[in-house]
Amino acid sequence: MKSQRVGDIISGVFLVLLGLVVVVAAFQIKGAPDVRMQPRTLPLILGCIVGVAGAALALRAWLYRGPARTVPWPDRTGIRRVLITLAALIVFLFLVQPLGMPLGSSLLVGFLVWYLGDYRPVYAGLLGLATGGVIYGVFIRLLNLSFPIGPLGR
Amino acid sequence: MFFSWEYLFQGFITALTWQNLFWALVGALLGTLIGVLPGIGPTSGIAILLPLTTVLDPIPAIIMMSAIYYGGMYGGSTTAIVVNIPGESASVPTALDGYELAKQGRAGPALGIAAISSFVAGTLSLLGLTFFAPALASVALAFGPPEYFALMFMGLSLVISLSQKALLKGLIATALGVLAATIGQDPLTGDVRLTFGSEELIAGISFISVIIGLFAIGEVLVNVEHAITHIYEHKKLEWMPTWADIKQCGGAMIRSSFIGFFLGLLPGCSPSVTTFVAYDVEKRVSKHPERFGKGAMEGVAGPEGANNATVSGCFVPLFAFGASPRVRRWPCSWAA
Repeated sequence: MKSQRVGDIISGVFLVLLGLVVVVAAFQIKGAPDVRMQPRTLPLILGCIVGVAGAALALRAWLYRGPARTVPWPDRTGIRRVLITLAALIVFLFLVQPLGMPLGSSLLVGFLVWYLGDYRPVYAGLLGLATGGVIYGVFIRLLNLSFPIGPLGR
Repeated sequence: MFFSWEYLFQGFITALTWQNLFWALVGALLGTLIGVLPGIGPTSGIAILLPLTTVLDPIPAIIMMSAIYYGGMYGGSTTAIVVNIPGESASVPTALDGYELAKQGRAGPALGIAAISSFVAGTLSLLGLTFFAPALASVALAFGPPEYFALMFMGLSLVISLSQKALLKGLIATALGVLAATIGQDPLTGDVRLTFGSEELIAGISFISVIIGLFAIGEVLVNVEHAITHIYEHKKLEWMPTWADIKQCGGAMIRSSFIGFFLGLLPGCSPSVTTFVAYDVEKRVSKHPERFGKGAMEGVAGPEGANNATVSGCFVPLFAFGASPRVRRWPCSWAA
């Protein structure tokens, strides 16, 4: 998938599938009998637009015969870093409810600073704790926002 | 039209006492501090800081709340310019050129222009609010469904000029944006759409989550893949806008005042639309439209001016009829 042509074809096919899913899902919306503008109308139109535009994107890329335009994808190390960062964010999403926002954020920031910044674990841990402290102090204590607080609230 | 200079001067005498000016300063500072936090816009900023105003008399309380609102509006531009994370939907066009300027070491001038443009447009639109509110309010309320449809259609069609050569991809992005807005309960019939059985999706997808996902997470991942440790890799940092910058943006500030004020009059037309319209107008009138998206100062001045002018425009129907114009029109803000 180095060239933009291949990328556009894959994106186009994905959009066609997405459009189909939306059209099928839109037909399953019940709606009310005495309403002129049914709730399924807008998703139906949009599903068709996405599908047709996706097909046009794929077809245009398929027929493209000009000079190859390469997409600057990251190298193997870059991809690994992106995937690990994404995995850390997903783990954070699962941990934020049981651990609470301050502790969850401390762990996320500490880990990412250690992994991405190549800092010493103690420094990364302290930075994570400081972030958690700021989140607890500013967002939860001062601004009273309804963040999950975890064991700190007990 | 009833108008009395005496009442106007009385208002100035009341507002310009040092106590009221002090509370305005406090409100603007707190509003800016809250506004820079992504996801907390001016409206939620007022809601959060409302308890602080309860200890004050009504006049300083209203002044402080207005200052919080304006501060929150301005604060949203800070993260948009400095780290490419718009604090709210209205700041998205600011990020397009603001962040490019920041990468060139011109974050300071961009922030300065945002402040000056906000001030100029805010002042001009306040003059409009003071002198023409009753006359304009009746015009604004004459707007019916066909006019709103035309306005929203215009908002969506801005994608044609904003997406330049990649028109097909712009169309796809617009359709996906409106599609995401249809997820959840239908506002007219209450039917649940495209939730695929998920209870969390019944309330819809919050606009701010999408902004954070697209801009903030995207920015983080770009920095991660190239192991960038310094966001700005440049030699020289500038702190203040030059006279040439201000002169270059003079027209943008005036134009955005009018655009923001007149579109803000319409109930339901939020800053999310007016900022995009202002950005598009600047790009159209510019002699060098190719600079837009690569760090054009007018690309910051236009949306930021319109942002503030819209607030004054919104006050016209509010003061004249007690009708809040900031009714949330989801397709409008989503499409923007």
